[in-house]
Amino acid sequence: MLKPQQQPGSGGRKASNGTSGPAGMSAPVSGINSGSRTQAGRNRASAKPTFQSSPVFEGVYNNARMLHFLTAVVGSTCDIRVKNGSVFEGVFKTLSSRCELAVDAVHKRGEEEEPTSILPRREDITDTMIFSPSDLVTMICKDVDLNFATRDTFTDTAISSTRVNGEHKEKVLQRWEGGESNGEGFDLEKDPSNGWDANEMFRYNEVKYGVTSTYDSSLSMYTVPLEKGNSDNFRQREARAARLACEIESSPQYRHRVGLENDEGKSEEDKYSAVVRDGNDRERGRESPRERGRDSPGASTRDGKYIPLPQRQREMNRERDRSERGPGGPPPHARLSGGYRSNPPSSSSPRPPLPSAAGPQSGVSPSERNSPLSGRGGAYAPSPGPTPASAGGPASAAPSPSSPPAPHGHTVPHSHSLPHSLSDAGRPVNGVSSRTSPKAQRPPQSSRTVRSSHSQSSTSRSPKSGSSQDTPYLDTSSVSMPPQKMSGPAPLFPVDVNEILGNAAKERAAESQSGTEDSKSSKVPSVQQRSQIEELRKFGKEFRLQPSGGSSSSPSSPATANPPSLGEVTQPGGAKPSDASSEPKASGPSQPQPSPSPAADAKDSTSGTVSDRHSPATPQPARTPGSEDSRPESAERPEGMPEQVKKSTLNPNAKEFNPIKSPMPMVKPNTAPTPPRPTPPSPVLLQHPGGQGPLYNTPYLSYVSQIHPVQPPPMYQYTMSAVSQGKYPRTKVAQRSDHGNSAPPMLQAASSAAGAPLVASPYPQPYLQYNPQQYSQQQVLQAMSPYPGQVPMYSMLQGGARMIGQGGGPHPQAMGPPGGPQFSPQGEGPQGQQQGIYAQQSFAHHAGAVHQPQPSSTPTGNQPPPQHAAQSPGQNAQPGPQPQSLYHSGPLSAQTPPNMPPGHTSPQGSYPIQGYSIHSHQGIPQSYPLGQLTQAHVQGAMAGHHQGNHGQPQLVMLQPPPQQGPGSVQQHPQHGPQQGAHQHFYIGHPQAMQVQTHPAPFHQPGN
Amino acid sequence: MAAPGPGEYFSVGSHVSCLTCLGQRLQGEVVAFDYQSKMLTLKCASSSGKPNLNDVILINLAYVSDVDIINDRTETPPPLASLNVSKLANRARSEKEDKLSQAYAISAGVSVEGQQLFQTIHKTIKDCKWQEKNIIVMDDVVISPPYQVENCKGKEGSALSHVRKIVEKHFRDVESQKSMQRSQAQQTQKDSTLSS
Repeated sequence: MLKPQQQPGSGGRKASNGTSGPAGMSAPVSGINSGSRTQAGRNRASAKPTFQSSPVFEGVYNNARMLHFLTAVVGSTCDIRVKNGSVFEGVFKTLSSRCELAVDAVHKRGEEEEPTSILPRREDITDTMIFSPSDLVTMICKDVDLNFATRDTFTDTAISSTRVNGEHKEKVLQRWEGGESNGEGFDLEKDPSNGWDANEMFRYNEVKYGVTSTYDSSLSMYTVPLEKGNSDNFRQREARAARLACEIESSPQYRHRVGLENDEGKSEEDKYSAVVRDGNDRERGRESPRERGRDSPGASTRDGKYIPLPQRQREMNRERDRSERGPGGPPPHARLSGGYRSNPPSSSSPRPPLPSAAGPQSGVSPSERNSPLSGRGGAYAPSPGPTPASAGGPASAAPSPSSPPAPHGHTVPHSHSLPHSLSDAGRPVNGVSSRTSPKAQRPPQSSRTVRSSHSQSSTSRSPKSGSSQDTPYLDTSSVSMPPQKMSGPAPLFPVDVNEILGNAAKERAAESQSGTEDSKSSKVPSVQQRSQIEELRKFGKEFRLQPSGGSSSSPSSPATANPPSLGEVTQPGGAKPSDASSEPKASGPSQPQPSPSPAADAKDSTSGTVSDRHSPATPQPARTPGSEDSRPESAERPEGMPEQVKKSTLNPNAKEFNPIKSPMPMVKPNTAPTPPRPTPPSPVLLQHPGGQGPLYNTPYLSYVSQIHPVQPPPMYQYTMSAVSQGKYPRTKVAQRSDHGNSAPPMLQAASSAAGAPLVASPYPQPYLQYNPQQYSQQQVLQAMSPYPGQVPMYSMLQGGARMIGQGGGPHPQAMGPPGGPQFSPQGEGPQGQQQGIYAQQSFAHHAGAVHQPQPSSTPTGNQPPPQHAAQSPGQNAQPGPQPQSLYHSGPLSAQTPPNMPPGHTSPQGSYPIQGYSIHSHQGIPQSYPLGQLTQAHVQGAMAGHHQGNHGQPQLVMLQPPPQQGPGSVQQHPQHGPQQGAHQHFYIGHPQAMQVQTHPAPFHQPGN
Repeated sequence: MAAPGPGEYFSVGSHVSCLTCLGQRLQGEVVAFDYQSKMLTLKCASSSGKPNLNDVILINLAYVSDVDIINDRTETPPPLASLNVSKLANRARSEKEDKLSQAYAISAGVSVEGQQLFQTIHKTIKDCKWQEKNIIVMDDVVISPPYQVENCKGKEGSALSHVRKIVEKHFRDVESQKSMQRSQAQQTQKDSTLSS
């Protein structure tokens, strides 16, 4: 009321001294030193208490109680009256050892005015005022919750003592009057039975409550009892019912759905992972693992994790296949034809075969259905022949896959291998089972194989799926040939890779099986080949039958002829309709599935068994036939007509062959696995790199996410990065230097030349790199588009941050040293990342002054690399294209250039990893300096988010940036909370901590 | 912490009364006293009458007279609990930001009614801020002058309806408070005259 300024003079001077108080305040609890009180506090120099380090506190800090209560009111609104009668209202912030009170957001008001009646204008508010005890009369903090900072909400004590519904009273405990026993005298230990029997409950209720149950165990009110008869009609119906049930239960869809219900083969990761794995090689490989997992849980541990998504995809594929299958008949033929044709070529060119193989595989299953009838008899025969087809289909597929694309091989091999290993005995059966299962189970397998093949050859997938059951056989036969051929070449590399990677042994085994099969095929060929040839011929006939139907099969006249013959021969044809055709031959009663079971015993086994069988079967056919078989097959096929008859006989043989095959697979596995492995590993590596790369480049997050789905490693990396970031904050300086260092090489050069030049160079490179990765993964592309925008922002931000935090000097220095080391260790990949960093730094340098306006935004960008990317977009928009280009170029160029040449995938993979490590160190540090701890946290969170969202997030990011044009605000949509925090921090960072608070307010107003 | 005599030392837990040089009578329970700085901290019942809250008064005994010990402590004061300093620091920061943001709004010419409404809403929904003269609640609802229920605009939904309820109740309470305050003001005047 009085003279504001006068009193303030003593009490109102603005000072930062008070800030020291808060730190000291934490110590109040230490205890009261009544005896050692000294007036030391009087000296300003002593204002900052050293109590933390020494037990002797100064001034008021010696008074634990005083300190406690004054600390407890920190953050509350206080009215301070000074000697002249003026009243100042503000937020109590802290006190010094001399009891100087620091108050924030102070405004002077009338003594008795209602606090809320007149609110201060911004011009009336002083950010911080320090009131000397000599001027202070009273400080009144109204409506303070003294338990605010002591209340713990999450302990039993706290919860039990908390007020209920506004009632704040302690609970009055009452003695339990129930007596010694637990009410009814129940004793948990007395009753050994597991709960009550229903009748017991009825009786109890009747005795206790007089309630009589009307329950009738026969459920006569709901249904009618089945009257069993001995008539033939009844038996037939019963048999039919059993058969139908068997069919249904053996159907792939049924199993698939049951599997969904039971979560079979799904790991937690599968079920909850947000990472979606593409149908890439890895997926294939993983799929195989999945299959393995399902079939043989033990087989693939790693795979299991990954499997989830792949499984999903597989399922998707399966569904597609199913849908396609209907039509599949025709497709298979085409496929078959293609497959046959391809076979010869396939030997020469792996991939072509693959597609065909895939087609064949799918085709095989179909053939089984169609031909099965004929074969069933040959189902067994088929098994030999078919096995080749079915198994061969699978096996061949497996081999083919393996051979063609390592990944494919992996997947297939895995499934197969597992099955093989699991059920050697089943192998023969497998062939059968594959046939039977193919219909029901095979779909999955076939689909799997198909998928794998698909993954290998996208085109082939659809066909496979479509034809998976019916056509599969035909396809498989043809396919098997190609695959084998394919496998031959690919395997070598895959093996090496596998070894290096040490991929799941399971997969390898699976692959190896296929590989072994292939290798064995050459060895065993004589017997197996013969049998296989026969089988192939049979298959060919069968296939032909279908194909003929399809007419697409250009394969050979025989084929066309065969179809009819098959129909006739198999008459099973009748059975065919229901897929049971094969069954009829093998086992009249049971449907296709049953037949398999009989044949292999294992066949009835669930999909898992089936898969095993299939795998064996597939391996066998594929193996034996191997590359060579394919040729024989071609020859055989022509013969097809006669062979068909033989097939029936062959089927039995097939069983025999199976055993042989099984051994074969065992041996083969190595070779086969290797091929697939090679490819898978390489993909994996690639993916990892990509994942890592993304991680490092926050902006890349989207990229990473994409990558992640494929590769598990990325995920880990992310987490790692997040962690590292968190840590980094503290070591801001060091980090900065590091950043500088890391980026430096590029940056330095760039900086020396000019910011722009660097940027320009980076651009192309980064893009290239990214593109490779992205392209490989598909998603990458999407990410790419967003990134550019985002990246620029980042660079801008980072640049700004650097400017602010480090200043011009630091950057160069840091840049230089780190860069050298990093490059050498990390190699190209790291460099790329580093470059990216550099680019940012360079930007910072360049932007320096220019960006400063954006500091708030920049800080965010700087803080977390990922965030940068995300946030950067918004900021980027502001900064303009240059920053973006620079940013991208930096990271991209570094990574891409090296990577690009070698191979998109491999380079990427390697690079990402390196880059990752580097990024985490460098990138994080940088970000931290700017962003501070909070930022770091945010980043971590951001990272997490990114991971989860992966693909989608990227998209989002992309979109947001444009909208966000304004800057930080835009980002908010995605990372609303974080951004807010970031902004504050950002603002704060440049300035002193104290300042930060101020900035924040300003910003808010501005917004 | 023996209390040699009134006005010299205070034992924690005792109730004291004192008169400041500005003529303000203060009374409360002693929770802390620092001899060197002559600072006395009292804990009083909340002036707003809320049961869980207290008023904490820091008194510079150098400017106080007429210190009376109403009653000495009856029991040993409870041990001090540790404080979550970071929590307090956050509160201080957020409070300051709120005040400043509010000040910006007022500087922009927001009416008293708007300010009061803002405070009312802020009690319930922390996520509200000024944007020029508009109150933005949860980034979803915009309340523009004159801040009546019909001025609440935003995406139809629970948020909007909820905010409207708050606004509606606010003005209802304001009306009732006005009448209450008049009568209370008279009473307080009487009390003050009597006490003094």
